[in-house]
Amino acid sequence: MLPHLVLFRTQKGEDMLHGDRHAISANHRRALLAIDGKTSVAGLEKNVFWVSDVKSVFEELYASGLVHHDLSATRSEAVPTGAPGQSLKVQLAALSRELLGSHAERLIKKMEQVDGSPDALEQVLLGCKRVIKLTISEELADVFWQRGRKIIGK
Amino acid sequence: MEFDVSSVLDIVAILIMFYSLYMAVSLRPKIPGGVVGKHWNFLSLLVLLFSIAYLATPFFGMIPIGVRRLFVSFVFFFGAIYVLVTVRLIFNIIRELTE
Repeated sequence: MLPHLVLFRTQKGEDMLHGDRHAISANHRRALLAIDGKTSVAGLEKNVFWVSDVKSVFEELYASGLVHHDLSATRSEAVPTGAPGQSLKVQLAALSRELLGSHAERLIKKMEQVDGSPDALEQVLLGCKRVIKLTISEELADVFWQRGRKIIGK
Repeated sequence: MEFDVSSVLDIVAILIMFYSLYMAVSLRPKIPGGVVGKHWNFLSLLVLLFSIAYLATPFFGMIPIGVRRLFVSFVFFFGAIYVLVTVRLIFNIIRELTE
């Protein structure tokens, strides 16, 4: 498994986590819980000391379809979890990169600092829109605002 | 060149102006457009103009009086434009932030 990949729990993984406690081993359950949709495989391998043989456990979870690395490809079946609203943040980050290119990173940082509730994200979107309008492009700011609100369902 | 209070002030002013020029140029990539970006090139150009004009101040004694007055008038004129653009820019930023 490539170390730079960021893993998400799929719906199957989510069901497994909240369903029968004995369906998977405690070690696999701990590994599944550690997946936050933000940290790369390399980062998890370094930090998740409470899971033994992390690398092969991740590979097994991946092979069982409990986790996946590609959010967009598995949107229908994968529900990224960890922090609430992580999925929205990932989509907003993708939108920022698409519209703003190299200027997106400072806005993505702002998004990562808030919780994932739609209201909090809307406030951040408004702040980002202002930054874009002031420093990047007035037209792009409106596009970003409209598409961002659609993503968070406002 | 004599070193009195005005000479020291001239040198400090030149240093401050060149530091401002450095900041204006280094900020440029972070402001490709938008309300601020639209004005930034013009403001940077004015800072460059002032930097060059300030460089001439230690040599004022060597400039004929008529040319010196014209020179000062130009600096005042562009200084007024600089202030106008800056105040309008701040006005627009505040309006945008309070909308």
